[in-house]
Amino acid sequence: MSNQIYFFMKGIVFTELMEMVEAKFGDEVMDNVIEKADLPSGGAYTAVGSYPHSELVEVVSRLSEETGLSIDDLLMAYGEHLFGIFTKAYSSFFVNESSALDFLAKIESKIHPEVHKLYPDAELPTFEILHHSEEKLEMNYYSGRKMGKFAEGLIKGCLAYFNEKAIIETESLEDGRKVRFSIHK
Amino acid sequence: MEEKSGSVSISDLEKQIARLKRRIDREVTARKSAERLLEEKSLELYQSNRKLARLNESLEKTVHRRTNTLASLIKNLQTGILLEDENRKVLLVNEKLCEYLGLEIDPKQLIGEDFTETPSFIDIFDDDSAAVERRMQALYDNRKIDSLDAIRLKNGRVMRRDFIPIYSDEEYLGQLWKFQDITQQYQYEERIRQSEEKYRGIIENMELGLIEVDLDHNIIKAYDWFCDMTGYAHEELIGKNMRELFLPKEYDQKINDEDNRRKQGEPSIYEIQMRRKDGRLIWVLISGAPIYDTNDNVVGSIGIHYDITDRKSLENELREAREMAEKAREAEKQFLANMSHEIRNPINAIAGIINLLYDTKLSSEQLEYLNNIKYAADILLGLISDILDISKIEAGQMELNEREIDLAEVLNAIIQTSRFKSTSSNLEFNCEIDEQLKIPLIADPTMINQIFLNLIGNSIKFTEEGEIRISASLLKDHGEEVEVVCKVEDTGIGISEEQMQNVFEKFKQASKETKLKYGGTGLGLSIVKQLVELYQGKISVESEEGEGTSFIFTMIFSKSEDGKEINIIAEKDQEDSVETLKKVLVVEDNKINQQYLVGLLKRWEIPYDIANNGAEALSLIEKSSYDTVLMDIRMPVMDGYEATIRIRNLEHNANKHVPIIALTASALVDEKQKALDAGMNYHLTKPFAPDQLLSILYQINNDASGSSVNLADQPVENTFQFNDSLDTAYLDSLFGDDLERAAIMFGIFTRTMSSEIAQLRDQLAAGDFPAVREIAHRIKPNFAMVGLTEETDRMKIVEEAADRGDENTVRKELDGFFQTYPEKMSLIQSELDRIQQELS
Repeated sequence: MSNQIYFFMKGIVFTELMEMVEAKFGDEVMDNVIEKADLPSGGAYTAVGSYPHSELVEVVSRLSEETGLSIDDLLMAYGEHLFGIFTKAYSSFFVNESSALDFLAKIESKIHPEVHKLYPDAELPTFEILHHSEEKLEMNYYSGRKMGKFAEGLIKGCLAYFNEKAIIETESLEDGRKVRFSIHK
Repeated sequence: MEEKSGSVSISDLEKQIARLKRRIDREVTARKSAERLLEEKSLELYQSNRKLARLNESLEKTVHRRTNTLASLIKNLQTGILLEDENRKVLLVNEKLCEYLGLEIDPKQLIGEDFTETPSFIDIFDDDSAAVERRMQALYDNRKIDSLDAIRLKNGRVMRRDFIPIYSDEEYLGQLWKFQDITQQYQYEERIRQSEEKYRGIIENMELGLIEVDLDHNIIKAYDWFCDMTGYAHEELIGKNMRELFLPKEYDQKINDEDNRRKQGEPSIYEIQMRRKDGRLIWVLISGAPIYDTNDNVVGSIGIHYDITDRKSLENELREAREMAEKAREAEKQFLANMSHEIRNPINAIAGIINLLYDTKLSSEQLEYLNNIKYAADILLGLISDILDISKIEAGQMELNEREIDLAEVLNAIIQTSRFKSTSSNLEFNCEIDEQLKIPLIADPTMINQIFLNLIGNSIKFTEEGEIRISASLLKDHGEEVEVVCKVEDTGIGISEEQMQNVFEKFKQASKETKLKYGGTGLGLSIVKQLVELYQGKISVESEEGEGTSFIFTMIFSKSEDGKEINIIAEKDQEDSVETLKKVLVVEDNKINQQYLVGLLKRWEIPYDIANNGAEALSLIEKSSYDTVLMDIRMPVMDGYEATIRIRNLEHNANKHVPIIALTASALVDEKQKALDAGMNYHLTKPFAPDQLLSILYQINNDASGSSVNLADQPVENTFQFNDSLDTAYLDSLFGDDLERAAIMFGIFTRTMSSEIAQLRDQLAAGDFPAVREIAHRIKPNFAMVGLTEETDRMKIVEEAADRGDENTVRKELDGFFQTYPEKMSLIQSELDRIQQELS
């Protein structure tokens, strides 16, 4: 761990994860995961704090052992769930938005700068828009945390929020630090 | 979980309790950690607020300080400043602005007001107030930087106004008006502009077209008169290329030269043609000068154009008129020369016979008639002689026959002759000669005689009584030459001032009355003037009406080098001096001239022989010896030239060096030169007076060495070639380059021969052989004159055969003659045409 780059994530990601684990798998599974996991925070998360990314990885890994579900599936499911939370917690971002692809296309240019204003220490992935039309969006995801599946879950959540259907194709590059997304209707 | 709830074991419950306890622990830990985090954030927030408060305080101070600085700066600026907000309410205005605009108001009072609603605001401007308002409204609406409006105020000031809109990001905050006093600068500019306007006006009024071009001839500025001159409007000229628009190609080189001059900074003036818009070419005089920029680089040129088309056309007309006048003058000269030539021969005959008639026994009635005839003939001779003199002088053919003379003796002889000739007893003739002039000079005595005799003759004519005086004195000694001033003075009727102006012009006499009363040709004084000019002299006349007239002239003579004894032809007793001449040979085909000469020789008692042509002369010369030969030039069988050449080439004959006097009908230098070239020694132009012949005979008698004539080699240039079928050698010797004479001869031949030939044919048919002989004899020489020497020979054969009574030969020769005659006749006709063509 100490050799890894020490990333922090916003507390809401952890508190929401815990709430979802408890709701979906029960308090016993949640307690087991926390007890077995090696967590410097001891699993006591608050939305106003920030916690190392490694704790998220640890929690999801333990949950995978506990439930028999793959880490990727868990991350994707959580991403999809979290987007729903975001739409409620940060509803101001969604005013006047009507299209999933348009919204996704401006995450990098519009949403992330706003996030930085609220949380100057937030560490966010980078999106590079390659193609954007009404029917199709192509973009590259870059993050040292290799959270491509989490991102994919968030995209699914986005499509669900706007009540749109689309095919998401992914291509993982550079050991997961770069993922090419192709979302088309 | 619901299933399990019924059978919950203690251990399960304990586990559950432990789990819940752990969960509560986690929640407590999370809460505490959240509380701590919030505590930290709160502290952080408090500290930030404190920091911000302090920062605000210091910023306020800075802003206050800066505002004060700016306000004081603006207040003291030498520029009028007015700052307004977006609603045109005054935010700031300085005293300078109020001073400029003449507003007697505290600037602070204006703050918050609408400046344009200030009382008397509209009265500030000298210009149309509605226009000022429109202009301001436009600036308010546009909200863009604008400057350089010069606004004239009622108080006489001129303001430069700047409008500066103020934006913060994209929000419009208001505008700044800036006013600067440019009254002085404006006045200067105005003065410069008026001065420019004045000079431009002057130049335009002088009808000078101004234009400014850059280095590539593109028109930068064109002035009104230039536009008028070329027919273009201003806007058609600006930016156009001057060369392409106006200049005909032939001036390219000229303009290139001018360009180079201009690039060197040289101004220049030149004339060229320019094409107007309507295609018409005009001549312009251009004064071009370079234009410099502020760094003294040539950036173009300014051209001042003056339309000289009218002047040019006038020049052309004048030139044409002058050429025509010169041609007319030339034709007149030619005509006079030709006419006098034609008239000369008959007068020669008349004058000769008159002289002979005086030597016959005459009744008093006959003598009176003869005197009248002589008087008329003399006038005619004088006229012809004058005209020929003028023609010769003007054609540059006057020959100076210079020799050593004693001027005093020449003038004395002249005055004696004049005195002798004069019929009036009331006239006194005097002569006065400067002692310094009694040195031998080189001059043509004939010319000097002619000058003085003409002037004296003139004086005699207009002087009834009193004195005629001639004088000569040294004006300047140039070493090898002397300049002599001569006078001929009389006490006659004088000349009026207006008449004096053209006394030396040809055919100009004092008045019609003068001409009627005194006669004369009006050529005399003109000849005198030209003769004086031959001696590099000048002539003038002074006169007072009723008092008399003085002709004053100068001449330059060379001094004689060796100063040998002066030898001139003086008035001597000629009757005695020619008695020593033993025998003279007269060679002359013209019977009348023969008679004249024989008459003279008889009078002078000089023995003579007669030859009708050169051939006869040669046969006589072989038999006896002569002291002198009088040789006519144009004769049948053998002409004078040929005869002379043969005489000079005789072997073992005493007559080889006999002096030969050429008798020519032409006074032209060429003819005379030809005679001298052929070997003749003297020259007399027919008609000549007995005295002239006598003086030559006297010279021969005295001067055994003969020739007094300097023979110069003058190659005769004859460009005309006679037809080869003719006897060209004979024709050339006959006419030389005197084509006029040839034309006359050929003309006479073609006009007269046909009737002669017709007669000859008739007489031959009638078998009248004596008549045939007569005609053949008569027409015999005529053929040779046009180069048909064979025909002349044939006529000779006919004549001789007729004499013998050899009718066969006569018929045979004449048949041959008639066969070839038409062909020969047309040949002569075509030669005549060619000659006339050459002459024209």
